[in-house]
Amino acid sequence: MATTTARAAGLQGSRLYDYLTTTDHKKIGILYTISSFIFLAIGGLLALGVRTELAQPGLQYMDESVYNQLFTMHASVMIFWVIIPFLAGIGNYIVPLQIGAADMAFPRINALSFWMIPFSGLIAASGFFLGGAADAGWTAYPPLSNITYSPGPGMNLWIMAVILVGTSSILGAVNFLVTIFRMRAPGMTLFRMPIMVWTIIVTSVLVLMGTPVLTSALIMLFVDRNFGGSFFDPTTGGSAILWQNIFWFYSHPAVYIMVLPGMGVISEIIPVFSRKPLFGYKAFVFATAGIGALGFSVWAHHMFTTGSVFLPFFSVMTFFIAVPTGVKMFNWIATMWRGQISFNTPMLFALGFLSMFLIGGINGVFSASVPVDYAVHATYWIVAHIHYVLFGGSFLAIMAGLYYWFPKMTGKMLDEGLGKLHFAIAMIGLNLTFLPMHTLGLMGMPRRIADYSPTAGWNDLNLAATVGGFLVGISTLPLLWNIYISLRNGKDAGPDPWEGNTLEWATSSPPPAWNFDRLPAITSERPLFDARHGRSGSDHA
Amino acid sequence: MRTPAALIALLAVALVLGGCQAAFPPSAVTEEGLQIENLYVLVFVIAAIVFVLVEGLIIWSVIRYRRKPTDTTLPAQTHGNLVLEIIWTAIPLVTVVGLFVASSQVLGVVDARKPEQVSVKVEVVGYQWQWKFAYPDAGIEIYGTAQNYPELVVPIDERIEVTLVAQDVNHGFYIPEFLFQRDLVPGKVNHFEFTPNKLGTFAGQCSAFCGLLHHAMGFTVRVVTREEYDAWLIEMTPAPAPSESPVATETDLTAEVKEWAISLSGASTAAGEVTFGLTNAGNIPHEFIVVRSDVDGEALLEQVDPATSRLDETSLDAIGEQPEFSPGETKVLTLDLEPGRYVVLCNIAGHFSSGMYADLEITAN
Amino acid sequence: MSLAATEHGTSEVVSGHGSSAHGAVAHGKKGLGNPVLGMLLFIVSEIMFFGGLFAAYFSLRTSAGTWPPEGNEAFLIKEHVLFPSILTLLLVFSSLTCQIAVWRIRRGDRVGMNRALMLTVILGVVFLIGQLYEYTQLGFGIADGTFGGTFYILTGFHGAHVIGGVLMLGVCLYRGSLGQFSAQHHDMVEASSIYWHFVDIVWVFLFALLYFV
Repeated sequence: MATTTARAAGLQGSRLYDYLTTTDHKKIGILYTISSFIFLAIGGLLALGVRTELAQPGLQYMDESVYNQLFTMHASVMIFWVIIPFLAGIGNYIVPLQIGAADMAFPRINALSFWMIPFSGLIAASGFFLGGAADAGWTAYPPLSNITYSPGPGMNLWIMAVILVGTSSILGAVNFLVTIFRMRAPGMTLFRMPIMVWTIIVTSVLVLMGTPVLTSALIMLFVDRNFGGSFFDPTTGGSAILWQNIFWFYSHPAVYIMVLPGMGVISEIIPVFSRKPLFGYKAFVFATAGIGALGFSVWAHHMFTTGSVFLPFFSVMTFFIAVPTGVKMFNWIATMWRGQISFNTPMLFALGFLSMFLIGGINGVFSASVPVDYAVHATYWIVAHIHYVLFGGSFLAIMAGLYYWFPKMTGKMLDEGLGKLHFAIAMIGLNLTFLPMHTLGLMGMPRRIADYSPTAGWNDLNLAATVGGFLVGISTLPLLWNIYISLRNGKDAGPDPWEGNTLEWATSSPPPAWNFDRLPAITSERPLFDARHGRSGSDHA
Repeated sequence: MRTPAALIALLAVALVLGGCQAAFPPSAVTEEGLQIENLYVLVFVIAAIVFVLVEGLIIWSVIRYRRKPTDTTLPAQTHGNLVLEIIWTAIPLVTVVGLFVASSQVLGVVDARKPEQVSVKVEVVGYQWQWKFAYPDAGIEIYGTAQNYPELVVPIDERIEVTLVAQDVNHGFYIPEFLFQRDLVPGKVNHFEFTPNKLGTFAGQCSAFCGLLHHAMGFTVRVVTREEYDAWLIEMTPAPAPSESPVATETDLTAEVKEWAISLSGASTAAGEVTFGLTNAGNIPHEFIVVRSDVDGEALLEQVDPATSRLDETSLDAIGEQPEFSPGETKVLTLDLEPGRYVVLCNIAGHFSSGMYADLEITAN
Repeated sequence: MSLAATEHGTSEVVSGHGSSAHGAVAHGKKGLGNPVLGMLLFIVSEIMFFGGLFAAYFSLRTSAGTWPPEGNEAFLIKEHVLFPSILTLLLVFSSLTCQIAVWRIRRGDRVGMNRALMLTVILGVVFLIGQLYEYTQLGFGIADGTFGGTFYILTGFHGAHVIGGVLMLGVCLYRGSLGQFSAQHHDMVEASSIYWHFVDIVWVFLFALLYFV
């Protein structure tokens, strides 16, 4: 039997074997985190390649063919192999703990979901070594992505990889939903769940209903490319616009998949470090559900310039979706208002999220207006928007979550000084990189160009953005060093270093395999707060 | 005390003004663009107010409500405030509805189609990686090349109708100073109308990623007075086409190049000085390269670099070539060819693989 | 385990789920086990997957104008519905046998369940063979324009799901023959049968749409 052989090889007791075969949600959560960091490095290097080339006009370091692969794979890696898995990993670790469960509903499927991620990532990346990675943009619009104009193997590999990583997401969503609906501890009604858990519910519904639609589009593209299909080929009766509609039907909800769990993380951190409950818990739940529902109705705002969209509907729905998002902003501020705020690193990153996501949200509203979108679509304005919401939003939230829950996962505290250094460099780098891109877009610099005219007036801002980009890269170094030294020598965290409100702090750091020996009574959304301060009863608005 | 304050105020104003330009699109040069520009300013003002307000609240609460050593008891555990929450839901809702209404009004102007008021019709064809501008009423066609961007000339203060046709993949017809772009979608014809209201030359570029040389797919729009436009029309209208045989010199072979084939009048000719009479019978520019090759054209297809969709010319034994020439043009190419096998081909990205080659045998005398 | 909760003497609840760290299944109060709930949710995602394919079908069909497109007699599948109708009836009948298997195991009738499952699997395999045969008789392929493309991708992926269902039911049959199911513990059979019914319902829609509408 496999275990006997493994034992004989001295492997079975080893940590590596443990992690390779685990079905424990906590270890799987850590595996997700490690995988995401590795792909973050890859995606980040791809970005630095792009920025290095764009620092000055002229093609100094690569030809267009390489450049097009770099930006295509940068976006694909960051979306599918970094942001989504990072959040799935945090959810994996934290959700069962927050609801007082011993594990996820389907631990083996959980493990399968994880391993599909590095596996599919390797498939996508292998394109670089097999004649060229995908290079038609992460949006892969046909006819460009069809076989005539993208004949290499990279596109096929990319399609297969994204189908696999999507399937991993879907299985994860099923797992989260069954776990949350069926395995909550006694006393934890739906409206006593932490907001983090609510955001995972809505995110999982988006994954469940949106990702399969992308899968169908990818399969049709694969058939077009390799079996003579006509789905998206206008020369044989197909429709190029059809791809755009089906693709964006998923890919718009995808951005909420990438931000809602981040908002959940922020909603855990701000109350703890303000020593007040989340202001407007119920409104927050409804706003989250509202964003999820509305998220399915706005997809064609990516297609305003195609001349094939019913503009008023998609414009008004896009304007509407700004409202629940704005409501959340006010809820978070009201939570801090008249609180007692401490500025530990998790809170710093949460505050960074608030400010940066505010910018990303506001510049998004510009594009909701169709005529303004005519001016800024497919320019660096949009690049600014997506990076403020995805980097300034999702990624800062992920960092906040990492700093917040690292003590729980490892039993060690991270160094505050290094954390603040990471934060400072990241904030400077982020703004130096992406703030100028608003101007570049307004001036007329389109996206996805390998080179630009030296007389267009775009030189200085591009150089600034490149410097910022390298700063962003450098900002991760204090974090990595921090993790290394803290794992070896960090201060003991104890079960509850932050005076947290939720159940994960009611067990040791790290928790035992079965998570809890005992659970406190659950009578509100802050069971640990109640236990600590002798309160009971659900008293949120 | 006054002087430093005045200096600081001056600096602040300078920063704001300098920064101002950074936050706004270029001044519009069309009537429709002007509407968009004003709408942008409206959105910007509201956005600035929201940003200052919310960011201000964040910064204020972080400063005012930071935890002090004197904070020994918990702050008031406020869970919510229904009135406040309704207000801060309603105000954003009203604001976005207002923005939507303002946008709809501008959209009505920008996307308006008024065929009875159109005075000039232009057809724009986009292909990898350049543009063709056609004035069907005047019989004018202008082809761009990467070295020589095509120029769309239009008269000021008149309504221009643009038809957009994609020949291969998606492209985007984008002019920053119009504050406008519209996609070229394969299988679909798009239209828009505009009225230029400033004289000048304005840069344009493809905005929808279309592959390898997407970044080089530029063009310009030149707005001139009606008189200048009329003069330009006359200058550009082609002279009556010459008779069937376009070359006066004696040719050994004629070659017709088009999408997607090269038709040689013969499969072989004698060695020595060979004169090719070339005609571009297609719709886009082509080139004509004569390559010495031991394998035939079909076998040479395998050597196409998938990354660039071209043959690597450094590895070819090219005897001579006619560089890119436009549709309808005729050229003469004279080369000294020794006996052997040759392939004539067009090596513009994608063209060779699509079939633009022919085999040629040069026989000994 | 030190817990902040113990300090103030508030009541504690022993975690009843503490020992189930290795995938033990929680049984809900209403009898809807976790695997069944999981399967229902998974089916939601499958419906959306077919939804994307259907969206393509409807969109392409609308823009084609005449449907089937003219010029290829093989496209007139509406005139050859007998064979696929028989296949449809077999598949529908297999849903019945599948449900009978479920009813039997709920009563504890292991042998009866195995028999019904065996019949279901056989019917499923016959459907697949019949579908493959139909493919050889059709006279057009996936590369024959939008008609061929949509026909084969819809029926093809449905067939792939039938294969998945047959495999699942096959595993149920195998485990059933080893006596691993009982009246109280047969979640996999319940989940697999729900999947099978879903596959069947999709086929009925698909068949009606492709051959009659």
